[in-house]
Amino acid sequence: MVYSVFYYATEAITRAFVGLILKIVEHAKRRRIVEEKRREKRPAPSWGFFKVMSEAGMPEYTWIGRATNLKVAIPGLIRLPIAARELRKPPTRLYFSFAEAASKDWFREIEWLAEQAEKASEEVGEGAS
Amino acid sequence: MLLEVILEDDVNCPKCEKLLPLLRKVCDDLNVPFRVKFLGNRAVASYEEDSSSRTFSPEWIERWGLKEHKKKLKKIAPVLTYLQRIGAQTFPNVVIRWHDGVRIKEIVVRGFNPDSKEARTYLSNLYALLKMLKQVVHRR
Repeated sequence: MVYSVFYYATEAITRAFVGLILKIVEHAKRRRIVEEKRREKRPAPSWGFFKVMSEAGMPEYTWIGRATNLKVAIPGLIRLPIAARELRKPPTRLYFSFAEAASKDWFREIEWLAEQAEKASEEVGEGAS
Repeated sequence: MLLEVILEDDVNCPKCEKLLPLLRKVCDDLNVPFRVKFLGNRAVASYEEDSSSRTFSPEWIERWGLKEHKKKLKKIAPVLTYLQRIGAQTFPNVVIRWHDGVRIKEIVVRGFNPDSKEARTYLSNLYALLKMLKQVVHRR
């Protein structure tokens, strides 16, 4: 039997086409062996220059050491050449009425409100970043 | 380390007059700095806002208020604006301030009723809170 060029060409195209479909099906059914790793949030910086609030309510730059417990406070009177990290949590202020303060569960309320304030500040910080 | 108690007072307020010696005694017992800030209409520092008048403002609620407060803000906004305009203030306010090494934290307790049965519980709660804070602040 003599095969013509047209026959071989048609067969090659058909094989390629069917092979491609089978590979696609196989790829779709393939089990994902390595699962995608979720990106973890970068931990908050624990050392470096931080901009904090002093006892007098004025801004203050503090150097917190990496391996040592060294803390150096620089009053916010000068412009610091290094970018200091802003602390996420703002000054906390909690309000209570007389009835709340006179209740026996007052300390629980303080704890709960402090948690809420911290959560809210974290949300604001994430939104800003 | 900073730990102090501030009483926001009005010279014409009888409740403030009764709270003042009681609170001073609590602070003296614990050796916590105590000062009185006169903010009434006839006082020298009357132009200053007190803790409660600040919470009456719509801006304060937008910035610091809880979600429930923000929901109700539309309805009460005109009332709040009116209170801001006339400079409404309530007394007494007890402000407890301390510094935790990074930031200043404050607890504001508004109002006092010397005739109620809860006045004693109120003072004992304040005493317990100040005692606890003093230990925390001086431990660092």
